[in-house]
Amino acid sequence: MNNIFDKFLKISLTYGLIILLALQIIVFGSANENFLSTINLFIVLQAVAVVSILALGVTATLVVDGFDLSIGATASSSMMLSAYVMVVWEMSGLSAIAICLLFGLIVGITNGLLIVKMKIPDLLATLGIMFLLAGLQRIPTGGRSIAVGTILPDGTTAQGKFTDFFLSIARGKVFEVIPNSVIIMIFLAICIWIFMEFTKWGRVMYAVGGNEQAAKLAGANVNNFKITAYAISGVYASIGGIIMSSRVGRGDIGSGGSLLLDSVAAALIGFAFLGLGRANPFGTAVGAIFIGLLLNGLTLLNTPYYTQDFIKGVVLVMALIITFGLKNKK
Amino acid sequence: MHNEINPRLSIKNISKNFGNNSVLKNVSFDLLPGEITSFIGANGAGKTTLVKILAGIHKFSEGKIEIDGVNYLPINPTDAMKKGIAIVHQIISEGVIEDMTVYENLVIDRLCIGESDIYFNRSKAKKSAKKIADALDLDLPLNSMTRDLSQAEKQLVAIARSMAHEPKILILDEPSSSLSSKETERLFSLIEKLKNQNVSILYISHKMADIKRLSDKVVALRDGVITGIFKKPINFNEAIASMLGKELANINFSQNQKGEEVIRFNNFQLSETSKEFNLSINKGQVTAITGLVGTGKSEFIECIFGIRKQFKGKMFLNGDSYTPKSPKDAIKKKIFLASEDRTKNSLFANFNLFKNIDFPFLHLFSNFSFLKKNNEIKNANKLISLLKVKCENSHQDIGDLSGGNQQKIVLARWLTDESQLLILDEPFQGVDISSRQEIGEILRKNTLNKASLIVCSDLDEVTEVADRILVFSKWALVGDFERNQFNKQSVIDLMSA
Repeated sequence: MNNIFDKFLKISLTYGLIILLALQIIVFGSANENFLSTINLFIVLQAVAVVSILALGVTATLVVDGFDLSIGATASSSMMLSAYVMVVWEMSGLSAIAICLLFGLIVGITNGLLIVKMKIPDLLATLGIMFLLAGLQRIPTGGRSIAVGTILPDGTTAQGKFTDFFLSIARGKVFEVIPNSVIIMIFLAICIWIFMEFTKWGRVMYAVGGNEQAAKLAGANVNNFKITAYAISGVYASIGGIIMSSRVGRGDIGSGGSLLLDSVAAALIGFAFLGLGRANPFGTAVGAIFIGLLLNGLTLLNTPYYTQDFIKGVVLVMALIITFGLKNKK
Repeated sequence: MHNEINPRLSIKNISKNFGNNSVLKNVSFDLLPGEITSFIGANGAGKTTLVKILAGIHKFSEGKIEIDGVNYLPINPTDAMKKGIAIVHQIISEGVIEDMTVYENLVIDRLCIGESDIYFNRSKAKKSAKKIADALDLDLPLNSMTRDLSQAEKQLVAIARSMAHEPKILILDEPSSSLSSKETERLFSLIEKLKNQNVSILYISHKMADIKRLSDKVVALRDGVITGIFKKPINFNEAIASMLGKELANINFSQNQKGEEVIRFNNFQLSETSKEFNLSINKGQVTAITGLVGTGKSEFIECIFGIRKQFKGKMFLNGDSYTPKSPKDAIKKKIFLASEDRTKNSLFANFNLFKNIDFPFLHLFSNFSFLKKNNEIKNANKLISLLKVKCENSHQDIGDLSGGNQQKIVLARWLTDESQLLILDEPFQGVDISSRQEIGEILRKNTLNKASLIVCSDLDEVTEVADRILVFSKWALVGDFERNQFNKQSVIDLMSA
């Protein structure tokens, strides 16, 4: 009896997330025929693209046993920055992208340095940067959103516009079906997955997260790897911001409010993937898609929008119970 | 004696196993009221386990403990405290709450137990704190923040705090380890005062001077077994000998000859107050550093591995000046160290065996930074069979292995690549005898082209494996013996001097 229970526990720990994912597809698929259509699946992926990109970035920091709370603010700042570069400075879409990536890198390295050199606890350092960025993005425009023809604080009207190339980042489709943003998301997921699982650097990152002291005594430059993790997180967040900006075609003040929580939830749900019980890029991607499918399916079943956060919360708590609670009992 | 005093605490045939690992075997001894009993033993001997059993943190596997003749079976630390056992732990910051005032610290346990009103009455708390301090004749700055106190004062607060429960038995776990000699004096006068108040005291320490000064009785523990109980007049050399191992192990041993010099230390001085020494370590031999705990052995190793900087003096590696700034530098120069305490300093709990083994040498197993997993596994399998690691395969979790096999994995790591100098700090801690002998054998076989240096405080283990034995005392080298001229008694004399 006990033995059967143990086996059941082990299976549910290892494959729980995948089983739930399959269950979702079956239940929603049979309840609404549109759910499993190609178009709908790409709608789901497109909806989770930004969140999962941010989640993949924060996964890098979770791997080194850190945390990056500033990803949401980095993404929305990057959104504002891209709009500012094109609309106010009247520069090209490509320069907007380059400047945003550089911005994300600088934010990430700053986070890393605060944590490694100043010895500020990761949550506090990135919380501080989050606040700082949330405020900083409002200053250049005097607290207004940026769109074509925005009136600037000095009274002049901005002359630039979002370039077609820039707008095509999120709005374009490959073969007229696969949204570009989904392609970018998959590409970034594969990049970080290969980096973490198949390169020696990824191995060192996991080691730093597992036992920092042992990694140091085995000759690893722990500080550099931690900074790298935050740099990855910052750059990924800025890419998320670029996609948001391209999607809405303006720099929206106050957008991305729920980005941080959604991405962190995806990464934490990913802990439960294959019973690993730790951050891993593949799990993060699965976690993001899991939430996306769930919300989409519930929407098709006419569940009111205001229940969404509650449902996300329930899923997250359940995933955490699987990861931590049951694991300790084992 | 006619009127035999009844023991306060009586430990009867206590055994404790962690899984298959037996940590305490049939341990029995008594504590009498008003007696200071010193409890000695090398690291890993099982002292801490016994303390944790008495504290109600661990349950014992077999045996019986009595306090004043009543069966004692604490369910948790609070219960242990209620039943009359108070413990002051080695790490002072665990004994006091630094962000509270001294008087708050003294009454905190009462607050936590819930024997107080809902409202925190400051003046009442101060009064009872003063009472506690006065009972011990302690002049403590009751209104100061605890973090502003000296180490000794904090330690006194910690002791006073635990004495607030009027315990029958006080256990002090290395209370003087971070105190200056003047501060230690203050601590001792308190301990003696408690003794006169008829408290039984179990004093755990590595400092022989303290033990000589305080002890009414010495209990020596080695590998989980009581190896000697010494009553007054105490023969301290005997006590040390029984803590470190009495008889030479009976193994085949052929002395390896000294090869070329690998590393040399010129006018080397570890700390401002220690003596300087010269030393060179050679290929072909296993050299062991021995000495009591806190005699600078680990600190010496840390200088070689780039973790610490010596106070004075120079190192020469193959004749060239050697100034490592980090473990990375040392590893580049082919100097490897397996640190003491493998769980804390070596192993990655989230990694399987092969990932644990080759971690420092990933460059040897990758192409353009992409890992070649097959080569990693091949390397691991080779070392696993060389070291006879008991495991299912190289994908097993490190946590599934026994202590001895985990230690073999640590050794496997540092045999992955050739080294010039291989240093193992306390490699036999928490390692069973058969694994220990296998590790020793591999070490001796593999030392032909390199120098092997082990740090080990157990003399039996040292004589089992070393061709040359260095003795440390007071942060300096005080003895240097080839194994065939090695005389245990003279080493013990040097150690306890």
